[in-house]
Order: sequence, then C-alpha cells, then structure tokens
Amino acid sequence: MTTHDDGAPIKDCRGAMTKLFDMLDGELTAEREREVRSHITSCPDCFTHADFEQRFLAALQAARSGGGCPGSLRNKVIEALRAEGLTH
Amino acid sequence: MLMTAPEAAHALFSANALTALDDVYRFARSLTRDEADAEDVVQETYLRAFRSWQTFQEGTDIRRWLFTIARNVFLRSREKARREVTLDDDGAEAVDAAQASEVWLRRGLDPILASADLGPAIHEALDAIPETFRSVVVLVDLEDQSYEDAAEVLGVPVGTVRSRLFRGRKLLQERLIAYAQDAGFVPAPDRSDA
Repeated sequence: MTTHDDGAPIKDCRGAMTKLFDMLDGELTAEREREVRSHITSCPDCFTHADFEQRFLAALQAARSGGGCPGSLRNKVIEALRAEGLTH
Repeated sequence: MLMTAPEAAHALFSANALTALDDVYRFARSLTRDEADAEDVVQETYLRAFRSWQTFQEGTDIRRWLFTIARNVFLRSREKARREVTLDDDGAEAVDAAQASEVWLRRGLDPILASADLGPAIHEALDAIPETFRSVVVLVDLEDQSYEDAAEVLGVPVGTVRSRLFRGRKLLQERLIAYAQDAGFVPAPDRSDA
C-alpha cells in the first residue's frame, strides 16, 4: 500500500470525500483509512455517496472480463518474434 | 542439455512477457479503440520488448513494463493523442466534483450499476472519453495497477494520476447517465429538476 497523503486531519465531509477514492483504491495507510471510514459510517450523506462510488467501481471492475487477445493475433506476435530471433 | 545464455533469455521472455498478452491487448484496445490499430500496437510492443528484454528488471512487474512500452508505441503512432496529453490537466473538461454521482442518486438510477448488461455500455463510455482519462481508468480500474504503477506507465506524477482518475470516473458516470436514460431505465422522479 502506498500513500500520497497531505496528512491533514479528516474534519468534515469535504475532507472525507476528498480521500474517498484513495480509500476505495487501497491507497491510504490503515490509520488514515480508519479515519475516513469513521467519518463515513457516522455521516448518512457521506455513507450514501461512498456506497454509490463503491458500487460504481465494482461495476467498472466487472466490465474487465472479456476482450482477451485473439488467437490469430497471438500467432502473429509469436511469428514476428521468431522472425526477430526468438528461439523458445 | 543446458541452454545457452541467449536461449535462457528467450525462454524467460516467452514465460513472462507472452503470458501478459491478454492484458497488453486489452490495454492497446482501450488506447486505440480500433481492432486493427490495437493489433499493430500489440505487435510493435512485443517486438520492442523483445529487442530490449535485457533492460527488463527481473522481479519487477512485467505488465507495468509492457503497458509502458504499449503506451509509448501508441503515442508515437498518434499525433492527435500526443496533443491530447499536453492539453489535459488544466481541464478542457469541467467536471463538477460530485455532480455526476449526485445525479445518479437523485434520479434513482444507481440500481442499474448491478446490471449484468452494463459491461458493453461501460466500454462504449470508455471509448468516448479522452485518451488522457481513459488510460488511467483502464490501468487502475480494469488492470488493477496502483497509482504509482499507473504513474510510471503514463510518465506522470502520482498526483496527476489521481486527478485524471477522478475526472475520468466522473466523465464515465456522466456518459452512463445518458446510457441509463437511453436504455429506458425508469428513474425515480427528480424533484430538483422540477
């Protein structure tokens, strides 16, 4: 996990929402995440907003499936690499 | 029989780089939005990767390395995309921070997020937003790259990844509102629009 946090305390809805995507993306420290979650669980508006964003991100991730490399392209790539000298 | 050093390097390349072919293809497809162009990007990416395989640091993320090459290949092939990147961060696209999600909630459109049919609409919406934002959304949301990894692939600071990601997601939400309406999803009455 990495953090790119300015360290400012989460004092209000704006502070919590500024960190929302960082939290949902796993980019906050555990301590910072607890702080943001604590605000969200105690604030109905922020909770609703956070819940929506979480569901939106889940929908995006679910859209990942499909779209693997076509077999014909895979063969072309391997053929081109062999022509370039790939031996294995 | 023992392999020679070049043979061992080639075997390592095949075992590592070629296993990421699906990921590189998806990324190239999202960059180019065109099947034939994506194929060109993938082929050129693998040729460049093979030629510079000795520069790959074993133990680092092969996908991040290949994504970086793929994006460079794409940018070199597209002057338009290059111009887009120089334009991006000051915001030709004015997106109100919370506006899109508030519209979703106010209009009661959010149940559609659980729809199994949303995938094609998401890809269509992704294709419609500027490449600057699309790349970062694809890397983080669809290819599970961290902010730091995405920053390395895109050659931008982490703060830029964060702002592009935010705006990219909001642009997608706006596009998907239109999809939900076009698809005939019956929204709850929006009192604030009255």
